[in-house]
This record gives sequence, structure tokens and C-alpha cells, in this order.
Amino acid sequence: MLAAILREWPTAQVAWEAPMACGFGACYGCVVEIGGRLRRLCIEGPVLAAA
Amino acid sequence: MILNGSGCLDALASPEIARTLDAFVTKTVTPQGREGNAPVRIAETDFGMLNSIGLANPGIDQFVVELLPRLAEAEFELWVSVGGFSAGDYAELCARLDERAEIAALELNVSCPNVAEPVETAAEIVAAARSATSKPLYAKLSPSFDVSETARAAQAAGADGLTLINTIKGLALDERTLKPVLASGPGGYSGPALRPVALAAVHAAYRATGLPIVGLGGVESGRHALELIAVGASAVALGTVLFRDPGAPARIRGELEAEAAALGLTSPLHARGIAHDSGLQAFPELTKYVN
Repeated sequence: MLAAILREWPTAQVAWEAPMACGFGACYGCVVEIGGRLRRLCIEGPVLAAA
Repeated sequence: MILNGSGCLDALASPEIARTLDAFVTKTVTPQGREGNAPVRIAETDFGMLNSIGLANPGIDQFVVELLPRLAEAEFELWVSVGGFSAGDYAELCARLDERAEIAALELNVSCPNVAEPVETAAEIVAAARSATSKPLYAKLSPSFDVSETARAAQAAGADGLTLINTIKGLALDERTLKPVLASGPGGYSGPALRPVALAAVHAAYRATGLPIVGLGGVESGRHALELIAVGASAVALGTVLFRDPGAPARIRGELEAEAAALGLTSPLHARGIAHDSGLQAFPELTKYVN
């Protein structure tokens, strides 16, 4: 689905979701890989570029 | 004395919480920066949670240049947790941090369940670290081995104190697919389920060594903290509870003092080790509270 979104809207932002423990940047539990980097959704997201 | 468990609080992101601790323990720093393990890294389970972060950290160079100066500005006592993949890694990290006056103590994370273990024993790692620093050294041990034996060996190798316990290995399956939830498969199990495990480990380590002990594992209330002190902890750390109650340090400190006062103790630390004796009956003047 992400690939399809990126084809249509290369600069799309999406609301990401991941299991989250602390919610304040401490535990590094909620990372997702975006553009080859792991990003913490709690303090960097949850709305981030799709790639 | 109330601390945080390493990796359960970021003092720079949440200084208002860190200020409510007596000492702040950093997330484990390793020689090289690490992205950590692949997501999914967190799973909720019965009586606790699993994590498999894999020691994500910026590495010692960036830690010393960027994070340490900012941490040093804060008013809390600073402990740095170090980890590695060989005894030499620990020695290198301790040597780098030895000259930094802002660091009160070093904790040797020799018990992360989510990364490959060094070939050396905990005691060999403690000995290597000891030769590299004169700072107080706390060895953070796993309860998955013979705690008395490991604790004695760590003491003989020069540890000034022990931190007990780290998480224990656990695994959770996805409800629908029956596949492990965590990308790594197993992870570190923490939370209330660890309380009796932590009590037994601190009990054994205190009996074996008499060293100062930071007790942790599932503490959620002042009563839980008091019990760890009663089996031998000289300080208590909070881990998983911080994730759902960032106000826990202040709350638990108040509860702990009230628990001690209700038993007729003037300080919670007067209860240190009394589980090894005859409990509160060790204080004849307090027998009215127990009989």
C-alpha cells in the first residue's frame, strides 16, 4: 500500500502506527523504518513522510 | 534512594521526571553507535511486557560530545550504563568515562538479553572495567544464572555494587498468526511478573556479598520498594512502571516513607536486610507492630 501511495503522491505524509511503551522518547520501542532510518514515532511522529 | 532502570527514561527528553530521581541512569552506551534490532520491538504480555530494542544508542563518541555535557547540566546524580561485546569494550568505555567528573558511577550492563553476549564471564568483564576506572562500578546482573555465584565473582573482580535484576527472556505470540510478535522472536520480559524473581535475586546477592545493591524488577509501589530493601537493596530503581506512570518516582518515594513510618522505622533504609534476620522482630521496640 505504501508503494502505491508513493507512486501517486511522492511527498505523501502518513500517520504511522507501532506498539509503543513509554511514549516520551526513552525506550526506542516504537521505531519504524522510513527511508532507511529508524524513527521514533512518539517524539518524531506519528505523522511522517511515507518514505 | 530512587533511580530509573537503564533505558526506561531519557533525562534530556523528560527532565521534569529525571529531577524526581535521586540519580539518573543513562541508556546503555556501546563503543560504536547502534540502530538496534529490527521492529517490532515491543509486545504487551500478561503481567508485564517484552522488549527487544538491542541497545540502540549513538555510540561513545557522540555520547561524550553531545549528550554528556547536556546531562551534566542537570541537578541529578548521573550514572552511565555501558555495554559491549567483549571485556575490552567495557574497559575502553570505562577508560573514556573515568576522567569525567560529572559521572558519579558506572553501571556495567552484562545482562542484556537482546544482543549477543561477550565470550567473557561477568567477573572477567568487571575485572577489565575495574582496571580502567576508579569510579564506583555496579554490575547489572541477570537472574537467569546462579546469582550468588555471579555476585561473589563480581565482588571478587572489584565491583563496588550490584544492580539486580535485568529483564528475563520471554516470548509472545501473535493472537491470530501464532508468530512471535517481536521481530527478534524472544525479548526481555519486565514488569510486575518480575517482583518475586527480583526479590529472590537481591536476597541471594545480599547474602553472598553484602555489597550495595540497586534492586529493581516490577516495582510499582512503596511497598514493593520496601520489600526489595528488606531483602538487601540499598537503592531501588523503577523501570516498566515509568511507561504508564511517569509520576512514579515521586509517588513511590512518598509511599515508601509512609510504609516505613507506619512500621515505626525512621528511614526506609533501616529495613535493609531485615528479611535475612527475623524481619521486623529484629527491632524489639517495634514488636508492638508485628505481634
